[in-house]
Amino acid sequence: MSAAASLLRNTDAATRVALAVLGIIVAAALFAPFLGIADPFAIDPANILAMPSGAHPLGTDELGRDLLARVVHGGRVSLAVAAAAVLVAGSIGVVLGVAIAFLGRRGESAAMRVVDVFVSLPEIFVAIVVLAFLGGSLAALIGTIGLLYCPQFARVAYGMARSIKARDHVLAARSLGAGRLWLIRHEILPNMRSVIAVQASLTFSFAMLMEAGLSFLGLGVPPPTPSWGQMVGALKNYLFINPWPVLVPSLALFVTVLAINVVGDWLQDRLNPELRR
Amino acid sequence: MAKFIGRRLGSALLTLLLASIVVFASIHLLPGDPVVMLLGEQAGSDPAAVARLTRELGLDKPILSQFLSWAGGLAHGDLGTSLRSGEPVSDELVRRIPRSLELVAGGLAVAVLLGLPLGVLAARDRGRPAGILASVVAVAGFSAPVFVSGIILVLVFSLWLGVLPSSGFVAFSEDPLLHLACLVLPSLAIGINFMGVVARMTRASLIDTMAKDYVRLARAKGLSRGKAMTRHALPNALVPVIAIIGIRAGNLLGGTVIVEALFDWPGLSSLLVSASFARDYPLMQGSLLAIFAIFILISLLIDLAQGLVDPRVRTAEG
Amino acid sequence: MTTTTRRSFSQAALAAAALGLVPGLSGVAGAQTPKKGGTLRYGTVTEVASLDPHVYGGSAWRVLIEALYSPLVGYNAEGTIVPRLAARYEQPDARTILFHLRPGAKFHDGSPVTAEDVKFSLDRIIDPGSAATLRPNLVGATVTVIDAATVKVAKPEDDATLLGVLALPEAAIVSRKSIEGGANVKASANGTGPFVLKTYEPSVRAVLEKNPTYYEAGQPYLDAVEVRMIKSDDARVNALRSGSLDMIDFVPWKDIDVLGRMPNFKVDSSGGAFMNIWFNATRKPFDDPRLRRAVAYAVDREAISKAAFFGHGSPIFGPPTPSDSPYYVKELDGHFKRDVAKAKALLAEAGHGQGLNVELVVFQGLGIYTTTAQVIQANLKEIGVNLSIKLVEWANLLERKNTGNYDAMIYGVSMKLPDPDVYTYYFGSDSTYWAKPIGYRDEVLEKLLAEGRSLTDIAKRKPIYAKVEERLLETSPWVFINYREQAQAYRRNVKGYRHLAGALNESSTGISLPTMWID
Repeated sequence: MSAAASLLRNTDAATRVALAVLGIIVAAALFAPFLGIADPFAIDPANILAMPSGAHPLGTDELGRDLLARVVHGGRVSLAVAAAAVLVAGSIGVVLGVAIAFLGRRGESAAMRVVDVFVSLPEIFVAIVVLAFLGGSLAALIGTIGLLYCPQFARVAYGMARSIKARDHVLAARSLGAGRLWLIRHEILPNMRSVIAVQASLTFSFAMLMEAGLSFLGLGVPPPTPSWGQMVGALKNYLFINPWPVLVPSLALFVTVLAINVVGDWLQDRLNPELRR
Repeated sequence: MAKFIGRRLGSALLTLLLASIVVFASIHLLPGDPVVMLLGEQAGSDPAAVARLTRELGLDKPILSQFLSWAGGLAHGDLGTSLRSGEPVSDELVRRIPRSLELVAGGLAVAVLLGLPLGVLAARDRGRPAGILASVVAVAGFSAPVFVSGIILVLVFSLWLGVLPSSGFVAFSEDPLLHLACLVLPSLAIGINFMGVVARMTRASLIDTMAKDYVRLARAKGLSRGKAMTRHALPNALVPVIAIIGIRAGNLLGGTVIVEALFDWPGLSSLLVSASFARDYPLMQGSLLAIFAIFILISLLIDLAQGLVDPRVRTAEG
Repeated sequence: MTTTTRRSFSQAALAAAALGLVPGLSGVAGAQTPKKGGTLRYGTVTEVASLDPHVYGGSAWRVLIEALYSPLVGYNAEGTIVPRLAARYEQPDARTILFHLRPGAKFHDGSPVTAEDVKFSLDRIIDPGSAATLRPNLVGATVTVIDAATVKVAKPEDDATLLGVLALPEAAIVSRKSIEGGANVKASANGTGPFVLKTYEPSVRAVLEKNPTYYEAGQPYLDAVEVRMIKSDDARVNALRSGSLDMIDFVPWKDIDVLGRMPNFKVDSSGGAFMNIWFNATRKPFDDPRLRRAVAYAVDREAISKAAFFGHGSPIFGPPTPSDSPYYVKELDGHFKRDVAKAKALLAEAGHGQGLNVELVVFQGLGIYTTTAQVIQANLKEIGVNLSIKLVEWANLLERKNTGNYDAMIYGVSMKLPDPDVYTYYFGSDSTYWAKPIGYRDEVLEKLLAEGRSLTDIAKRKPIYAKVEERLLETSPWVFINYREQAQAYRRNVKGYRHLAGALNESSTGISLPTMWID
């Protein structure tokens, strides 16, 4: 807690604004059901693609649903998917990376070669394959995005584990008979925390963009559940009829990713100065 | 140097081989049957028709033997024929690859032409309003999803100003001007995102380099800060920037999926997507392999270029 | 001979009547004199990946196939069956047709069209295990070469639809020599149609040039047709608006009114395909017709027409027979007017008064599908049915359809045949289209359909098909939702196009093309 407090002390104006924006967005997402906004699922075919009005502060979508309610509930989904995906990617990736670091020279280079192949796969293709397997659902989406980004975590974790393994005091501990699990628990994992935190913040914005992209292509959460990417994907078809509705989720997505990136930069500066090139 | 090139080439080929196995296996595991897609909504549920076409296409053989015959063809430069059109996959790739490269090149041009000055500005005026603004623009570009910036570009240039086509493709040989006009918005959409990456990288690298001894020395000798930056620091600061550009250029190619879909650009990614939706296996394999090969080729070239510039890279490889 | 000729004419008229053909909604060519030459630039939504003339591949495929190939007989813009490669035909009985080939008709490579080519082409369709679209319609048919210019097509039992089937573009005559010679029929074309294939890039573009040896003298008027496949709706509309195209198909519903109001464009629109909910009517819970009827009463078709089709999707409250068809039965229309109370009652009767959870499989690639699905979902919620939407790719949807792996799915159906016997194609237990994969069989319905097929007199057929439709509403294996209007838009200087309704809608361009011109 005190570490967090000291972190917060050193913020510039941009970061503070970004943190405030993120705070509002997260709070709105968390407390969506209690905000007294309209039902995001109530359709009104007589009133589609409407401009903002008293009844609908941000207008309506292609089915006459309230855009304010959709965008708030959509943020809930977008943020939750990204957070869960980062959790999946981080835990699988770190376990993999650390495990590979203990495989021995041959195994290491072979395993990393495989990881490299996965890193170089065009992400969208992997997503299409996996989603075709699992079918479109919230869990499938989280799993897919999580898997997409776990090689990156594995790479980082492997690199860290290898360098920590080679440190003098660790070599000393090993020569004194310290087991692998002891090493991992007491040396490797604690030393990796800040690097993983930075990687997680990076991945969070990637994951949000990936969720948006997949939903945009129609591979995301099934309707009528809103997510920002899915809303953009559906509403972009009406761009030439009324460009307003598509701008609402577009801006929400943009502002959120922007805020995350600003906060991520700051986090990177604070937690991990040597990563900053 | 020859040894270095040989080693890099060898590992590139190995990656390609591994990738092609992964690709082949995953494609054949997809639900949905290419034969049913070929036969259509009605004949596709006729078991006799399905069985016959499956046999004709050799899809009844075990996956391993299918892979071996595909790999055998590949060794002779034969990528097979598309299940849907019956045309050689290579013909299709030859048509599509230049279009995607054009898109990537356009995106890169936008990114470099906008990103470098932005990065230099951000580094030079670090902490001052101009520099902060430049940084914010860079992060903003980096944060806008491609489809969001694409939609806004269409809105502004096509719907409101009416100066550029909102999407579509015309062959260069038919109408060069229109061809280039169609290229502008998708290139911008890709480029703006990438511009952020280039600008951030340039800024960071330049700030680092400015702190190096030889730059300090140059300044101590009386060189102005601006001159020291452009003459001495910038060329060296660009090395990691080039590396990042190389790494990301390959990604851009795979990531053009959304841009090609949004702007209806008949490139490699849209070929991959339409082949995937139709389960046209040979075409999927071919287009993916092309994407991979281009990706690997680019990183190989970047490695070699860096090896030439910086001898340390040649020996540092573990 | 005279009698048979008269018979064939009455049959042609019958087929035309069956279509509910309103002769062109568009301005007819009128007194203007056609101008020869010029290129028509045509934008289409369909990505044509294969040019095989026997395997249906979307509306643009039809345009191309009708331009490149000809069947023995074909439809004209009035829906009448007219000679194409056969100069004339006779029907000695209701199961046999004799075709006399047109002398001097040539393939694009210059070789003459022979009876052998006809037999080869039709056998290629009939062959069990072939992928041909018309194979189910021609099961059991035999093709015999009588002499070099005469071919006999016979079916084992009386079939009023035989001539109408052979007049479809999917019954194109191909060159035996070039196919047996190994030509890739999916990417090249050696046909007999008014145009010759010049260049072709699958899924992107095809360029056609005038066939100088076309058997209809003086046709086509155009020198060339360029077909560009532009999947994106906005891109297609914008290309027309900016003048880089002369004509587009599949005008997005949202743009029909917008384009129609512009002075330099003309938009022709008519009911074409129709949207449905398909049930897996052989497994729980939708094996209960009461439940299916409950859904039929609950769906708000007006709302779907408004939201998904911008008002261009007229609701189907009865069977999918347009009001201008001779088979239209007024009493059946309006049968399923929205009635939430009735729907709830039926639901309770079926034992689901406490509510029900079901899954609706929906194609993910088109806005009309996802929008329609969401309206249905909201409608069913009102009667206590929780519908979850499962979005799938087309390949996955087809696999589910073919294996019966669904509770319910949304499926758009284009009119497959200009005859009410098309119900056999949809609901007959032998139909691989829908009934066979799920093992659905309605013997009452099949008996009626068999009776209708064997009759040629429209006055006798009409009451039978009225019973067929009554039965369909009662059992509701599908819920018919709405017609989706198919609209074409073109610049005012494009002349000679006639927009057809009903089953010939998709052939509008193909039929008009030889006599279209640019002013």
